[in-house]
Amino acid sequence: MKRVGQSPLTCLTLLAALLMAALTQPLAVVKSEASVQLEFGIKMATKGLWREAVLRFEKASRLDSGNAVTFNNLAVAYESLGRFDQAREAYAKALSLSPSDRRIQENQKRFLAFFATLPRGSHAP
Amino acid sequence: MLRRALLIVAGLAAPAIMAGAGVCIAVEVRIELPSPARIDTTGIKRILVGGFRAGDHPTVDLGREVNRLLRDMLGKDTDFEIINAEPLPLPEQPVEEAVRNTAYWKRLGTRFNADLILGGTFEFEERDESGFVQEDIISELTGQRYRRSRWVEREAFKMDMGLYMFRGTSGELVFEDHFAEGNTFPGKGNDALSVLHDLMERIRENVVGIVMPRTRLETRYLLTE
Repeated sequence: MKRVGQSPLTCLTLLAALLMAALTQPLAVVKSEASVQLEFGIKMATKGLWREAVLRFEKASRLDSGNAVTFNNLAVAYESLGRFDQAREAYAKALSLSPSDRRIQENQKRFLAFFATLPRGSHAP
Repeated sequence: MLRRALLIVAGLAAPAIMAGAGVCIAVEVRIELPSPARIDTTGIKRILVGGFRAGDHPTVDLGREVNRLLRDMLGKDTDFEIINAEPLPLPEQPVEEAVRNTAYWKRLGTRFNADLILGGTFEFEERDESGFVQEDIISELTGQRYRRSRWVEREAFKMDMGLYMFRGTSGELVFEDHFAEGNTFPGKGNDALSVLHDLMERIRENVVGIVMPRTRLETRYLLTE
């Protein structure tokens, strides 16, 4: 009787575990790949290899489009390459995902101050 | 048993929640921003620094000095040929009209074979800013802190340059902007010429950046998860 009584609960536990694993596993894999790209991009950026950094951040943003960190870093990398219109969009996206992040706010503020000094038509060389 | 099952489910969900709530660290990086020239310099080879309408100053010939400093800046930091000419007076008309006097600027362009001509206005003021300041003192005898007023002599200097650029071939106005700087120095009798050089030096990058692409060094935050 005990064994029969325990069986549905064990099954329920296993089922729940499998369900959670099925739900979280693909997401975790995608997140992890996005994180790998993000981390590699940061390494490249700190070495001044901004073209490579842009490629990595772009890839990370495609894998995880809800990460403000990725869009912030992408914006900084775009700035370094003089792709100012894209930088503006990336900052806007980063702030829409994380409106209260002071570092993103500060980055955007500094960028906009610089952007205002540019002549018209020179934003995307 | 049911509680145990729920705990297992919660245990599996926790890493996903933790990952979602990732804590980020900021790394400050310096970036070089490519900043294009503010005017189209196609076809420009020779630059003439023309006249500046400047106020009077007891010790400095402002018009001449500004002309000399601008020629020096552009000669050192650009690839253009800077025409070596004495400062020329602006036409005898209000500045707003003078800058629209295309015939005058075109004539200068032809006379000096200049592709680009600079001119404008220049104001340089010095003002006595001496006054009482409050300062906190700690008594050596009692160790007590007290506040006292002290007379401090100071001089403030301010410059404002209205800079205009004209295409030599047509006399057309291609650029206009104002550059203002100021500083306050302790004491009296500060050398106005040195201060003028110091203030002009501060606008060097901005002036050169009008005709030359520059890189600007700035800092940004890269974020890590």
